[in-house]
Amino acid sequence: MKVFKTKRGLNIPLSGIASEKITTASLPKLWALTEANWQGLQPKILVHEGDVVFVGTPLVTDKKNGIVVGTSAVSGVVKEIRRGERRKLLAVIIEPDGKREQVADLPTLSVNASPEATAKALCQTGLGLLFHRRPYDICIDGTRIPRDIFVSCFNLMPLAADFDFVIKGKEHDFETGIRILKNIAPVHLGIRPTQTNAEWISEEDADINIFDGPNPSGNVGVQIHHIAPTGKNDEVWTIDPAGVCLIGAYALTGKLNWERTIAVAGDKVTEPSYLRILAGSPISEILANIPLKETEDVRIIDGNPLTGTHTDVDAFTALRTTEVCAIAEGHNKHEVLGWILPRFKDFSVSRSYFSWLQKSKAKSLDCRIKGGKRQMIMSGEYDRVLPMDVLGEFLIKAIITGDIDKQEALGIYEVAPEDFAVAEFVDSSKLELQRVIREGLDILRKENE
Amino acid sequence: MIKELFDKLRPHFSEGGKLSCFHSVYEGFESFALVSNETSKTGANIHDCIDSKRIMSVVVIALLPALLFGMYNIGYQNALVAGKLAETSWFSLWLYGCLVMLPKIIVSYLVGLGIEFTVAQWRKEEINEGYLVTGLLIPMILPVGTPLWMLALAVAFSVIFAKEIFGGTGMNIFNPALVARAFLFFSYPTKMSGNEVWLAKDAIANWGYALPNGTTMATPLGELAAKTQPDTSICDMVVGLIPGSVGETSVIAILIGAVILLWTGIASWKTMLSVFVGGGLTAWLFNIGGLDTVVAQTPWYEHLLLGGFCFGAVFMATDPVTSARTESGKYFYGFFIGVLAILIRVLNPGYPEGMMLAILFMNMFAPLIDYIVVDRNIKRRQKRTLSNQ
Repeated sequence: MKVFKTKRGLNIPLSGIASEKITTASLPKLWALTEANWQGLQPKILVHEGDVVFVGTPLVTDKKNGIVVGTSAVSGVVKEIRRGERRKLLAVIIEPDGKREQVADLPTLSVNASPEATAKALCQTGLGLLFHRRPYDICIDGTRIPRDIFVSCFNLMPLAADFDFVIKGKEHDFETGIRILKNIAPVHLGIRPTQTNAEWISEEDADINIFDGPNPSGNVGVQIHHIAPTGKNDEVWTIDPAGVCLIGAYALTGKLNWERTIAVAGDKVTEPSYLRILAGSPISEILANIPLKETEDVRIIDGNPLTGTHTDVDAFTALRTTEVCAIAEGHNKHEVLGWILPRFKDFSVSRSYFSWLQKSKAKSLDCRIKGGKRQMIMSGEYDRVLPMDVLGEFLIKAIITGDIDKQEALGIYEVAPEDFAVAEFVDSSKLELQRVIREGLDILRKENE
Repeated sequence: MIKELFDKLRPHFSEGGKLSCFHSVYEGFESFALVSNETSKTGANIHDCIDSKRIMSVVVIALLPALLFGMYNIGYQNALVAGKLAETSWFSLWLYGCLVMLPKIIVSYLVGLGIEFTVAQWRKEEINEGYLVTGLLIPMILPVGTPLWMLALAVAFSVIFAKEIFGGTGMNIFNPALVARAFLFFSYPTKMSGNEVWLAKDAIANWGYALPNGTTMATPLGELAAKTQPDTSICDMVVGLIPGSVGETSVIAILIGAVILLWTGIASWKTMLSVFVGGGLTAWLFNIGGLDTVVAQTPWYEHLLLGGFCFGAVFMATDPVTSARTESGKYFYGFFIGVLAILIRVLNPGYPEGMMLAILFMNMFAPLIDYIVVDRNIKRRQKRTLSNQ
């Protein structure tokens, strides 16, 4: 076990952390596979409205290579194929029949299979959508066997689900999942110091690395950067640890069970806690089990408040969703001369506000940007919270100016938008750093592929 | 109530409204009075409450001790030369200085903000807060005898040619306050140095004393350049009751500002410390180097206390926009400012003070320093990629 101590970063103490209590939701009335699940792939629809589908029936595939498919997690009838502008595929919505019958000929996963056979089986069952690849941080297309597979077993983002709690009762699934992944490529597990003695960690099956430092040291991108950074021609896969449990459970039982334990958190939730629910369920089902305190001026986020996406009650969770948060939107707040107030209750890294007096106290933050967008004025802001040997500010500037050579030289292949989430939080110029990184990565992918 | 007022006024300033040509002004005042309730559209859903308004207002607060002391010092020097120091209360001294400084600050803000508002409206951008600091700095780094029209001219030149043509706050290469000073320094040298400009000579109503034209008062650095040993004690240098540009004389007041800037993390301690190390080391080398001039033999610590050294190190060199932006680059940037400032003082007989030119010169080299630091990062990555292959 190697220990990596990182100093840069920031833990943001938000109120509304999920308490260790699990509610189990019943099967949802609707289920959907949404566009959030095929990020970076061009989807091709394989079913029609009215078709009868089973668990494991392919619904969409990657138009370019046709290897990765998105399968149904329920049996039922295709209710709607939702499209957006220019017929862009947004979601395949299925009305479950409540039986959860599975298709007969799904490939199985075995511990001793070849890398190609394992990767192919994962792609055909739909479990392939759980993986993202680096560089570019998009879904895998199944055309290459990765150099390595990275799994970060903790997430320090505010309100993120605690994997130590989520894994309870699924330890064997996790261990099996790791053994399956080991067939494809060497697996690197990133853990935090408190997880060193966890029973689900086996040094035989994976390379274990301990990351000791503030958020975002739990980001898999930060861990890859320290263990074996990615270059232009590399391909590594990443998967969240709860996703490994799903793979392990399928390998053990042969049944595709997309049930996940997600955190429902935030100070606008009545009782922040965990919910066992089918991945791809409607947000409304989640909120029916764990209701909101109020419905006005609330932002519902698929993911955590730093990297998650703004969603709403009618939307569906993604297969990779690990938490759903609800915090105040802040539209109704009109602070008079707020920029000169001491702001004891707010949170700031800057000591110019007095929130440092109650540093560890959980804060309730809303979604206001709290300032105007400006050119970059302060220097070193990003580097203080980016635990990587990457000059964040210069990389961002290279992307904004479209200087591809510079982007490559400054390490764009080593980063993902989520690595800049904390930097975006602390940025006094209020720039949309995650959007900039995403656009930079997308342009480079088009150039290179 | 304030919100209602702005809501009521908004239609007039919006596109198509009668006052739409003042939209930027309206927006500037609205965001000044009310924190924008614009919420994030993409990326991080939550944000830190630090913004450039807060940063700039903290810098202004950090400047206040030096400004308030500078005001007192204006009255003090005036009464000292008039020979009426004993019979004048401290408050009268300060009030006189305040009355001398207020028009300068008002002119600086009116001209500078006027241009900024116009440019913002023309570019259809939000007003930047950067000038709040620059507008206060400019009157503080000029001799008290600078006429208002000259100040207005310098402000206009610096805002237009040092800032706006580069793209506004955050894009400028040179520190705008120092460009204003340099503009006057080279255009009107007799009004910027010499022995006549360091005194306020006119009484204002019942305050201050009228001094005859031709009354002179040399700064310690001016005396050193003139090869005479000033009779200023270390105590005077630290307290600041000596002639000089308005804000630069009191080391104690500047130190309070430095503590505020460093505690809040707005100024870089790396830059600040390096300026003092560079300056102290160079002055010490001159001390032991055997160069036989009065200024070269001035003890190194006195060099750091005199003139604009402290003010430049604390408020000018640390300007994040024009300084080196890489962390290791800040050490070199600061160090060479200190070195150059002392070199100019000692070796250039024409200029008693070198801080302004040293900072402007290093402003020019800051991108080069950053280039070298960034290049090292790039080389490190290339090397790693090659070794992986």
